[in-house]
Amino acid sequence: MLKYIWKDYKADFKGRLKYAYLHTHSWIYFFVYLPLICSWDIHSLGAAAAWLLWFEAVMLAEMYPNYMSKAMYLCPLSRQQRREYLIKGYLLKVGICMASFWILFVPLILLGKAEPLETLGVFVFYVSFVVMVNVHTKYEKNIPNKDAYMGYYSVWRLIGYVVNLMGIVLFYSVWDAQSSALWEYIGIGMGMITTVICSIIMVIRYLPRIIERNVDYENCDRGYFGIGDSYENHHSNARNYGNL
Amino acid sequence: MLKVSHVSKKFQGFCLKDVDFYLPKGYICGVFGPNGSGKTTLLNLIMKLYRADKGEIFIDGTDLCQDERGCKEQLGVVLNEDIFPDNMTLTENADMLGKYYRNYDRRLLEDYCERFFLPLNRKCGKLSKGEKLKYQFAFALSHQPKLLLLDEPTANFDPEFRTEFLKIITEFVSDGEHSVLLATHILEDLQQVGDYFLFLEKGEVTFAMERSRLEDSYRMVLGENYKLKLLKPDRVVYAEYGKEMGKALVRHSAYAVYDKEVTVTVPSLEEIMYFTVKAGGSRGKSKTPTQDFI
Repeated sequence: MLKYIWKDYKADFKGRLKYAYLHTHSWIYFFVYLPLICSWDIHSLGAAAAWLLWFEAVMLAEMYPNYMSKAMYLCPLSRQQRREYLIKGYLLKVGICMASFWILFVPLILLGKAEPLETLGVFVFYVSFVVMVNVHTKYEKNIPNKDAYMGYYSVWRLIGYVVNLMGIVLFYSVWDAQSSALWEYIGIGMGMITTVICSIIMVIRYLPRIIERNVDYENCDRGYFGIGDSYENHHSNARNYGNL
Repeated sequence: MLKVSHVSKKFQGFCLKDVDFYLPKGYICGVFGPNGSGKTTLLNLIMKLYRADKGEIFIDGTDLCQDERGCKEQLGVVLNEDIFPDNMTLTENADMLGKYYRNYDRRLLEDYCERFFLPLNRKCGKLSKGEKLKYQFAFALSHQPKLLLLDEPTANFDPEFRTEFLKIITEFVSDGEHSVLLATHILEDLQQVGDYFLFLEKGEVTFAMERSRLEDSYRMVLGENYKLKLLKPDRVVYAEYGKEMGKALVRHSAYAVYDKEVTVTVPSLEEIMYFTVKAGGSRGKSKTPTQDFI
């Protein structure tokens, strides 16, 4: 299945890249992270690498949200296989990000441009971010009364993103500074713990729901999961090109 | 080939009720009905895009719920919408989805694309609506399904290809091992190729019967208004009166007797649909629940 997913991702890469490029969500990160990380210390290669990795994670999450195209639902796949497709697709994206991290940071360590402790710190923030940002689906906007269904999905996600961003920025500011105050180390620690907790909550609480919902076309097409369902909603769904 | 057994599906504001029919191998079944009658919902249920609230669907003897994968192997689908990514070429698209089918044959796809004048290296996004449907049709045939599900495909075909399309589906069922379920508004096509007809109205099956029985079940009566009014009311499905002349769709039987001054013809599918829908509208519900299941 992983081979098929890889082939699917590869085959549609250009189209997905264009989709992510046009999707403003990705570019918010591009502009927010770029000045905040790189301007802190222009000579810090680690920070620049980190920015690249964060941007890659966002792009991948936007390019391949946890959903399947209608054609895939028509293919001979059982429900279990569709679930497997979505789960492995998620793991593949996380895996690609992890691989990219080490591909960038191992040479930096070897060249003496990044320290192992720095790499470890960035890794914690990065893993948290990657697992969190990939808990994402194309059909979120179609869920009526989203928070009622998803609990406090958007709240946790927002907290996670903001803390993660502030944490990594603080981390590099402290790392590059000649001397740092105790509160700054405490801040980094707090940021790390919070971002890890947020990512764990996102993965445990929301990822299974998103996957379960996208396993069946009916839920994606009609944009509901048993709450607020109506025939009118079906027709107001901009992505529904079908008719009754 | 296809058995739909007492299938119901409820949405808020719409309900597909107790659909029950059987399509044998080697036949073409036409599904028709007005907009919102549930044709696409029925097809979505057969494609397992929707889950039925009640009832069972069997494809070539296999329960769709028990073996979704096996059933979908047997299905070739043409939908009246874009289902392939626009940025990929025809070959890339077919290879991407074809790998999930056991019987996918790329050479067969190439043959059909050549026959339909579709350039394989062109991106799907560059194709016209009609060409996209032709491509869906070529892909559907390339994995050698046993049952073709076609949801209003002909509306976007040029007249030349429409003839070719009807010829292909007739060839497809000719070996007696394949079947076609064709949902369409263009009743002219159905009239040409349909062996069985399933008429849906407001989510209910108004009738499901074979061509010969359908032709024997109804008559169109044309004549002066007062002559039409003399017809037995329980036989009249619906009558439309003009200033002097009118026409009525009536239930027919071998023993039916008509006035010599009226013209009696076999109605077209379009006439049956029009008058039955009118009857349903004027009475709140159709009075022709001829549940003669195939």
